[in-house]
Amino acid sequence: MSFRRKLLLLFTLTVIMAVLAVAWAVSGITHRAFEQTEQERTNALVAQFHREFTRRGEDVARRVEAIADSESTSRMALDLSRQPSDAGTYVNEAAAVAKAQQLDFLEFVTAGGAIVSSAQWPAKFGYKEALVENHPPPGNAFLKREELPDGTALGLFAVRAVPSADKPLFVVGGRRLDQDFLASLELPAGTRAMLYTNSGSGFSPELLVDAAGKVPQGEKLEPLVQRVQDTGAEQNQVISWSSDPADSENVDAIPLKSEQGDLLGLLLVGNSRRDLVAVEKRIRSTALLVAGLGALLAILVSSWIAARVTRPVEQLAAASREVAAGNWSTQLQVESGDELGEMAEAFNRMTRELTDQRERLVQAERVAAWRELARRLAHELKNPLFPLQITVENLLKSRQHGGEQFDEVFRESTGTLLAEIANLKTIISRFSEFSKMPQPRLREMDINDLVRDVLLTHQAQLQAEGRPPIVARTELEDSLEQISADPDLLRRALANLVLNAIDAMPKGGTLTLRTRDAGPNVCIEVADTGSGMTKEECERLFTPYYTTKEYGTGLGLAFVQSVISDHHGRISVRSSPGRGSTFVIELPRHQEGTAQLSASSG
Amino acid sequence: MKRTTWPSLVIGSVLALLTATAGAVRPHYGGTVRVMVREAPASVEPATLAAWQNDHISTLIFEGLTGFDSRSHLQPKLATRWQSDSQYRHWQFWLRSGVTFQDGSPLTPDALAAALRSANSQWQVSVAADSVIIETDNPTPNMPAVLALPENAISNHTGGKLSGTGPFQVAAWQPGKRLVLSAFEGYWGGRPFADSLEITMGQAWRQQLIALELGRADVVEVAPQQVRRATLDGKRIFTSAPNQLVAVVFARDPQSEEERHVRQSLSAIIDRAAIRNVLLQGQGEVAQTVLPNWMSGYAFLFTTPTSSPQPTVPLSAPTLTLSYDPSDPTMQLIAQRVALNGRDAGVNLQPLAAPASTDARLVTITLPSPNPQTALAAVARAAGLAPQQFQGSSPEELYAQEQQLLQSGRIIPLIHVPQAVAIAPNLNSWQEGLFGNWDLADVWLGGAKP
Amino acid sequence: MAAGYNSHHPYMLRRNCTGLIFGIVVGLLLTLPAAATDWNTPATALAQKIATITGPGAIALETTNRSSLTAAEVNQARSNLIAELQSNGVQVVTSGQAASVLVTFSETATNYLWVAEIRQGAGEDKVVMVSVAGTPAAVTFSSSSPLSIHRTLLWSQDTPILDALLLPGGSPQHLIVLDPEKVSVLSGTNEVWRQEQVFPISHARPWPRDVRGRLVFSQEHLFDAYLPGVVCQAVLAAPLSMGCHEADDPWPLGTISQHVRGFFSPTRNFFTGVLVPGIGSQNAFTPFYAAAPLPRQNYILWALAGVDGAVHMVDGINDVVPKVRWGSDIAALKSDCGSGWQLLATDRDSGENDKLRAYEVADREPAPMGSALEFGGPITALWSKEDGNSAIAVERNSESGKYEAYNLAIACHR
Repeated sequence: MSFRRKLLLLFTLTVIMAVLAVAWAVSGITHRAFEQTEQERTNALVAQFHREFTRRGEDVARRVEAIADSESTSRMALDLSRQPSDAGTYVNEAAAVAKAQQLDFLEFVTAGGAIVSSAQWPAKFGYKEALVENHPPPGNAFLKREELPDGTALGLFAVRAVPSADKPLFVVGGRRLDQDFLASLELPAGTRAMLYTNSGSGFSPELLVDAAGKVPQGEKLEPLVQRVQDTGAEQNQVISWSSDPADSENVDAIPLKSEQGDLLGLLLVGNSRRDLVAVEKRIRSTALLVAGLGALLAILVSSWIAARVTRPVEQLAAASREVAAGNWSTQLQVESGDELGEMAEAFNRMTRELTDQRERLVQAERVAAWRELARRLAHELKNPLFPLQITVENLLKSRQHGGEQFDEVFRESTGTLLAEIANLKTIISRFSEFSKMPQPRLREMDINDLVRDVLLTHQAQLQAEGRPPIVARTELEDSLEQISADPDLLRRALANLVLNAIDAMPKGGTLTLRTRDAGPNVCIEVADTGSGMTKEECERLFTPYYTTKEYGTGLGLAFVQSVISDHHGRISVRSSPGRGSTFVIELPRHQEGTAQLSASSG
Repeated sequence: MKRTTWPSLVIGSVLALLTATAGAVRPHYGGTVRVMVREAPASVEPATLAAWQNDHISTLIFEGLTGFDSRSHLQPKLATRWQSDSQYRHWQFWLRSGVTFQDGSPLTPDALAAALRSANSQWQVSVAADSVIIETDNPTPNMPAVLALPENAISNHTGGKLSGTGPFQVAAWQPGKRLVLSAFEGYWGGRPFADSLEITMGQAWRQQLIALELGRADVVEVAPQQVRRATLDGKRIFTSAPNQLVAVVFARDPQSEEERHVRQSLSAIIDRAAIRNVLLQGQGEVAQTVLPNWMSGYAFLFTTPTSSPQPTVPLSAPTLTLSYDPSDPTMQLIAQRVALNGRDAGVNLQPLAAPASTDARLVTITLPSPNPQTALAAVARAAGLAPQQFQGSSPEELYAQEQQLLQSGRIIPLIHVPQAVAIAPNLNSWQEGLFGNWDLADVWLGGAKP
Repeated sequence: MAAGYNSHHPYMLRRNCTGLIFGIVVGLLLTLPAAATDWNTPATALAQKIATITGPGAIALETTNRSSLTAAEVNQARSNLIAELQSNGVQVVTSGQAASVLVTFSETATNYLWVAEIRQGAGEDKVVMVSVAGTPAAVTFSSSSPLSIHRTLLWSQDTPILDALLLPGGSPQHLIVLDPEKVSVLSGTNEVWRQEQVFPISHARPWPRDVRGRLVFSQEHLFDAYLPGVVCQAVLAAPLSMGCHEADDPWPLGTISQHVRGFFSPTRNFFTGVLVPGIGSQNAFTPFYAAAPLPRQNYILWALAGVDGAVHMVDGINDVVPKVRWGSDIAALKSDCGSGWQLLATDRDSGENDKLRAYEVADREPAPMGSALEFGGPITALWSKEDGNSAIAVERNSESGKYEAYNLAIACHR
């Protein structure tokens, strides 16, 4: 994995984790904050509800007051105080007045407690109203359970007395606490009021209504209702109506008590958590979206940063590869003054240093080579010069001594002179030949044939007289494919190695030639069982004009290397003193441009 | 028992106008009298109209052999005289001559006999010259009164057209909604003053009074409980003698002595005076009997004091259901009051608006005839009992039959309620009879045009 | 048992009395004195019923009146009953161990009912009853003023009276009564009349509602009767007879001396407005119900009670409508008061019972004279008589429901 990818991954992971952590934290905090707000809202609602309830009570009291103060009621009171009075005239009065005053309950009751007219139960005229009969009625609005023809109902009541000549007439009015009452309450959206009419102990879902009628799944409120029934105090509970968390309510149960403290019913204020859940959901999804976008942005920014950070490094790497490939003059553009800039600067210094050192080395080597060449040339030329000098001196001497002897000497000397001059010529041609190295002319050839041919050519040297014989051996791999190469150059290079090997075994030995398949390459090994070379000798072996031989020019292996290099191959040596040497040539099977060369040559 | 005020009221207000002329001004011919009624019959056949509780219409179109006049005296109508054998089984009625149906065909004994046969399958009706003979298996001393019943009105179906001999003929008929009657020029009793009657049906009491107030109706029915208020408002109100019985009718005979006791206790505990004075605003009379005193003359014999509200029935008594007509708010109130009173006596009564099968029903039975025998038989029929068979017309027999009906435990009479009508100021010669019948043939509109 | 519960029905006959002619029976029944209720028969019947139960012995009798009977009538009935009881062997004692009998005088809409509740020891009460036909008629009148209208009851009956004519002279007097179906000739003295003859009126088509008719004295043939579309004429022969024929002949409007006649609509209840020979040069007027002539020095002023509700004072040239609220019936009466001729008119706003008032017409504006005479019900007919000295008014009595014909005259109390 590239550095840039690693860096990118690291950055991205870091950013995502950070974003997730923030999202989680924000979500949690907002959830808590919303819960708190919601609770405060519920509390405010309940408070508002209490106010509304009080207001309704005052409203009822006001209406009852208005009825009691009205002229018609006063007239009725006066009329009823007369003897005899006809209460029957007023039997429908309560219903009409109640309708006008929008009251659900209205009764006109004499001081004795007898109902004159009842709006809620018109047939009850003449019967006693316990409220007025038993004790003085309360001044404020109060809750009361009212008997109706079809059961009982809860009501918010108020009583006012209408002064009359003798005894007062009482106006008992009220509003029914039922679904209409609930519907008339001004409640914020998402809030609903429910009413539970208490019928002693226990819970019956039938007695639970809201503004729309009977509350479905009312039994879910049973624990809450029972808690209020048990404690008599306000209670609160979150009710889940279904598995959907949005379908839940924060229900506050307010006990409704009579003047005597009996629990008549419960008002349940339900605050829907739908909005809360929706908001939380929205925040969560927004957080997720933001996190996703953040991660994406993080990836983009990270990749940009990574690219920015790694570009000098990559340039460095590329430059290093360039340097490794030999392009020592590679320079990096220094764009920043930071560590990377310094590194680029150092790299540039390094490559400049390397180039300088190499140039110095090359110059030194060139000087060394020239020295070696001069030494070798001097050495090579000094060797034939000395016999020449001796011969010339012998000739001169013989001339002085005379005749017959002279002739003979002359003959011998001229022969020596010619031989040495030829020797000099040979030396010069060898140098000349090295300098005129031709370009390889590639064609398809069988390497094993080449090896056999070279060995056959040098059979004479191997079996030369006056010296211990050298055994030649071949280990050729028959299945080798043909390769594209210049057979002449390769033959000369191989011949050089064979001659070197023969030279390395003056006391005889075994010369082994091997071929083998080495992947994309073909391997040719020339091994001798000679004296071998030191490590240092091996390192300097391919330097031109370097030789270990007493009479070598030092150009042979340089030539070999040059040929092999021209074939894009490689030559190496394994050797140690006393154990012989093995030269290994690796040649690619196919050369670039083989075809063209083949075609042009063929 | 204190003598109630209706006779003087009726005689003072109603009978004052019992004449073809209304006071000082002679009647005008012409115009359309607009009438509103509560009920909405589906057809104008005499049999359908007879089943109607407050049938004011049928006598306008159809007539019987006899009829009751505004003072509840039996009068000849299509028959001019009649006679019976001493057993009251064989009755002969002589026809009025020169009477024609509204379609122009003459009233013949055959047509009359055919109409009577179709109305009374158990009668043997034969024709003799200018009379019809009716023979019955049982003595029918009140046959002339029976023949005055709307269901025995004579109608003629010729060519699919229904016609009677009454003063008005059907001009337009939308079943249950509107009936337009036009004056029958050839009516034997004289063409009605009004050219036509426009009767709108199915109108609630309140709507009717409003329509009268707005001048959209000339004759409207008035609920008993509205009479006082309407009179105070200066409306022209005419009240009949109390001829409707509000009663609790039980679906079956008492099955045990205890049940009989429950019903007796209920009857004793009901505060009828409160219902009359308050719910009916003083209209009508408290009723311990089926027949009002003005019909029987002996109702005072049944007067028992209302018992004080002390539970007299064990509280274990089962709840009885009591149905009432939900379209009449007063009936609902009376049912609730009866239930309230019953509770005081330990009788659990549950008023129900639905006309489903209940233990008891609170009903208004309109007495169909001023003839006491005929009325008693009709009440017995309404209570689901076999109508009484009278051997003669003695008051003692009537008394005994009524006593028997009351002792059956099937009916608790509550109130006798009158029928009331309010008429427009420009309507003259209104003569509502003692029995609440409307003679719209005699009314005339006090416009300037003849 | 003599009295059946419904036996008062005048139209119901038993076979054992079919020998009587229906019309005569009706006539006889109608001539029965209205208020002469017989208390003896029911007392006898009830006493017999009580005696049957108690047997001979002593009873304690208590009576209660729950009917419209007067205290005097109750006393009468009670003493009759005690007498009858005694004749049945039952002694009425004030108290003691005797059986107690409570007799209640009750009534229905159509008859009286006497109810006796008999209590003997601890046994159940026994109830016996007797139905008594008839309803009382209690009519009261009040009139007193300087100019007063005097009225005399001539005749009353159950069926409508259209007109009545007291024949001048003769002893006994003769009264002719016109009703929609017949003309009755009665003889006798005031208040007690005996029916002599009845002439049914034949007519082919039904009478219009509110049928009207007029009797006019004739020197030649005793009387003419005018009804819508029908004219009847008495034939003065022995015996007296009457012939009717369908005719549109105009009815005499005023007195004989005035000769003006008006055409009466044969199917309605008013005069068409066409007069012969007319008033002045004019002979077509607004339709009217009644006309009253008021003779002036040179002309006759006619008051027409128009169908349009207004009174038209016409003299042949002018038609003046005075601001009065009169009813449809007017008549002219000659008197010694004022100008000598007064108009009798009903008051339109009189309420349930009609009031008749005399008016002096000075120019064209009528001025009331004296107090109004209140009747016991609505006036159904009002006709001036030929001599102008009297008029006939027919009322329908609100209490009894009977039609009563009165002779009206104006008396001056100077």
